[in-house]
Amino acid sequence: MLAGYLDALREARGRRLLPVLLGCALVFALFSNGIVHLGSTPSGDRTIVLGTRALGSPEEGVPELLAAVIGEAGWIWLLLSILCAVPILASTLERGWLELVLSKATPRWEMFLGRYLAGVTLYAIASAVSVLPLAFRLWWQTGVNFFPVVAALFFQVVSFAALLSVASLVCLAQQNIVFPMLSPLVVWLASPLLAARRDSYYQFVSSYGGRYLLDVAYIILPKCAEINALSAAWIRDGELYSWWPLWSSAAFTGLLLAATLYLLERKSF
Amino acid sequence: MPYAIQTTDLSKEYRAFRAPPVPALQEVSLVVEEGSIVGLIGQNGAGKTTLVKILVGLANSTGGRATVLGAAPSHPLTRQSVGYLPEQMRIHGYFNAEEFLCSMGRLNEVGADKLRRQVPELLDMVGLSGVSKCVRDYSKGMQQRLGLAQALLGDPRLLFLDEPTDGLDPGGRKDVRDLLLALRKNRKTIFLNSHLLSEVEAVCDQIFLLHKGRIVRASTPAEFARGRGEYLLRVPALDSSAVLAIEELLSVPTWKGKTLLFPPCDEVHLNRLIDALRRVPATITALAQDPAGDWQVSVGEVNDTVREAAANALGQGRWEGNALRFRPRDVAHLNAVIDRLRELSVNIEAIEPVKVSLEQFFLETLERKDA
Repeated sequence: MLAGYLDALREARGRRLLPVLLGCALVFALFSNGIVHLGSTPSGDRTIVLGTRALGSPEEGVPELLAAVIGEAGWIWLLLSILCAVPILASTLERGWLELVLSKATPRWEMFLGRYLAGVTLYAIASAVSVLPLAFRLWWQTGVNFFPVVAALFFQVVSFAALLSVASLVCLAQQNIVFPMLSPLVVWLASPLLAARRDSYYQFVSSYGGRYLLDVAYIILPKCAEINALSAAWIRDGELYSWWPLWSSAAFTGLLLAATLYLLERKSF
Repeated sequence: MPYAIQTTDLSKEYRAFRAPPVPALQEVSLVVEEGSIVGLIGQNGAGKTTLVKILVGLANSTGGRATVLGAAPSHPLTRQSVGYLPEQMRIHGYFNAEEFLCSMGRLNEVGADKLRRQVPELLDMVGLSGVSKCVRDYSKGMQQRLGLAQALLGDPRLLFLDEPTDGLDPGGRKDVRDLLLALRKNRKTIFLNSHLLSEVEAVCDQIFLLHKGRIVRASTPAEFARGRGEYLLRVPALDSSAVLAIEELLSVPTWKGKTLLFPPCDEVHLNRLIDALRRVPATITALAQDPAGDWQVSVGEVNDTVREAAANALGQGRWEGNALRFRPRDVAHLNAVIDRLRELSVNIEAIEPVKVSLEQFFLETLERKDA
């Protein structure tokens, strides 16, 4: 598996996907660090300033700020990483290349899982590079713990892993890259709508069967929007209101990956 | 000792939704001994690449059984001992040769030490030593050489090479040929799939001809070297009496409709003819001998196969300028012709067996099968 993992990271570097993603993450980190600074109120109390807006004392302002950053970073890096990770997955099954790699001693499932994990790693690195410098700096300057940010990043990784597992299954059926790229984006777009289905779709779907199907879709599909909100709330309030979005998305990932790897092992090329 | 490759009634059908299954391989049974070079030839779409893909574990068969080095083709240990050069190979452009080989080596679970030692050796062997540019800047021939090097990683016991000389210049082809022969000396088994019949003919110990998914012929280069038993006898210009004397020695069968007429011959040759016709199979409807002693054999149907079988059994000859192209019935007949020439004081300049090229063999076999 390690060979497939390293091979995929090398490919990400070779195709300039990793440098571009890291470059974007660095720009984001520099920008967010540039607009945040520590000021003081007329009474001499320290305050967190975002641009020209005072966010309050470090104890209140830092979690508020980092929750907002995580919320933004959550979708930016998710989208950019999908664009970078899916080509790496899809290239495994490109004609001419698959004959070379799938005839080797490393089992197919190990190789594909290695590449999948490399894709998840891309996202994890990009998110960490974009968010952690600010969290680290604020911890250094204010002493506000940055560990909630690390945990929130991990929640976001669960969300991304679920989306990438959708792409990996679609990769098996498609030789091109369009559908593997679009499918996780569709799931991602559906996630906030399904989470708020009672306020949105229920207005249009009055039948019991239709609503039941929407509920089933919500239960099955990854809950990216909720995980994003959960991550922000975790940083802001230090409390996890529900494990449901996390564990159901993780279960979805596990089942979809297992199905993908099983089908890959049995597939005739 | 297990065979390097053994297939029994191996079949493969391509199935599509709401379409009849398309047979790609039909009951292919073959055996390849270790340490030999085997060629697989056939037309486009004959099923060659499908067979190779099944044998390297990329495709699943829909019937029959295949073992490679005594185990299932998809077993990791089998794959570790097998090298494969695919026909339509696509190496990612960002690799350089060394990186690519290291990457492939790791995927084939070749140890780091072995890889460090082997990569420069292989690059040297395929003539890419010292080339540091990326694969995207390689010519087709260079990519093919690199593909060959990756197939040799880990010192495999069995090599599947699908069009290994594709894109190579004549010098490169010779290098590959020499490499294959050197590998055979090291007891490697090589399964060669190529359209270049001259390449196959030059290096292979055994040749399988695949047609419409079936092995229609298994042969050896010795069969081509032996030819069809024809000889070319080069002599100076002869007078007519010498020509007639020689022709008398050669039975010249002629066909009149469905009846074969041929000069008197002994019982052995007559029975050989009957056996040959039965093997075709051809139905013998009448057998008679006229007062002059000439034989007449009538058959149910006459075609090229029947004609060839009769000619092989009886022997025949024809003049090609000053050269007599003839097919003796047997060695005694060949010697009788030479003795007669000597009696006639004919100066024999050369006598040589007429070889059949693999291309001729290939085309004739396919024509026969299609007929």
